[in-house]
Amino acid sequence: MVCLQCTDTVLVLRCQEDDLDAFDEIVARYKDEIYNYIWRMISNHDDVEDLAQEVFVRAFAAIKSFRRESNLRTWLYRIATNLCVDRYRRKGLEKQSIVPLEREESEEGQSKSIDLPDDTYDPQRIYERSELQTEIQKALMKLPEKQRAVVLLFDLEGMSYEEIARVLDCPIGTVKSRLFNARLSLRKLLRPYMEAC
Amino acid sequence: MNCKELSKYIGDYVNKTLSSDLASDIESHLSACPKCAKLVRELQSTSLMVRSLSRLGAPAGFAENVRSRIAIQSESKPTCTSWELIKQWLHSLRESFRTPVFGLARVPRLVVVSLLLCLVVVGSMLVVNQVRYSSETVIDWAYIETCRDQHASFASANPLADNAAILLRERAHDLGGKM
Repeated sequence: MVCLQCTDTVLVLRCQEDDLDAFDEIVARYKDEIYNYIWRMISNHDDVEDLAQEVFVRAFAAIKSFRRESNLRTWLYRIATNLCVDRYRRKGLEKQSIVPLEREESEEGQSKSIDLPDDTYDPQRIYERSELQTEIQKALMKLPEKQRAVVLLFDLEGMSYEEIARVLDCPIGTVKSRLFNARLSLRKLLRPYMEAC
Repeated sequence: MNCKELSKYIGDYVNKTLSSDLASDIESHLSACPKCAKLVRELQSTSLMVRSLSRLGAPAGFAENVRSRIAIQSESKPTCTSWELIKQWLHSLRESFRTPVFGLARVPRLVVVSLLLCLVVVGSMLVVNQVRYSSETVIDWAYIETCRDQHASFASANPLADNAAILLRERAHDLGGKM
């Protein structure tokens, strides 16, 4: 039985009483959000679906120990974030995809490995070909994963500072500073594209 | 507001989490400072660009795949081990401590139980001491009565005598007689 009016708390209580339909409702409610978040976090088609499914499998395994005062949405995002971070650590992808901005600046002109746009860039053309989104995603992937998570949770998922602090298990001040640093980094990376936005 | 003061609030201003008073202070500074205005505009642009990213939905069959993975894990999962049972029991115990007691929503039940336990222990110690004292002390009420009578008769016969000295002498005599 699908309960569209049920609150998350009711669904969790029903899950804790072994109601599988309630868990199906949780999956239906959050699958798109979680899938989108993981996709933006790791940007890899092969692993996104697997990790997104893993979020719900882990949530199901731990739902009985879920505290009533917690928030289901932030809890799912927390599992998703931890899975993404673990994946980077396991596969060592962090080193491949994230380049510190300081190094980019110091090596500018010496190395051609940094994927910055050249002067012949045409914003309108890129926008029309939907490549701007690719460039934004590339810029996001150059951020440290914790900064990327904060930006995505704030700008894309619309979470408050408090909710992000709960997802990342850190103080609100840390959330604010990570968000500001991420914006500064994105500003440098995306400045050539800003006119197109 | 100057540029230095703005740097404290610029993040919250871009994120639109400032009070309207502070925001209007910042806006009046931005209208007079092109450098700060450019920085704010660029930071706002990064936010807009991230917000402009399209949202991707989970592919078809996602929920079914989740359910089949859960079913596979449930089948392959061994029966509940004793450690898991202990963990479950501890969890339920912890949850029971979170429920309100006597209307005190934030007081864990553990504290109340501990206080009650302390009261029981202290009370039982007092009772034990009382019983011990009463069992060790044997009072010879007949002897006390005799002494009192003797003292009363002596005091009436010798009203000027030193009562304390007489009592001591009497006591020594009585103890000697008993031994």
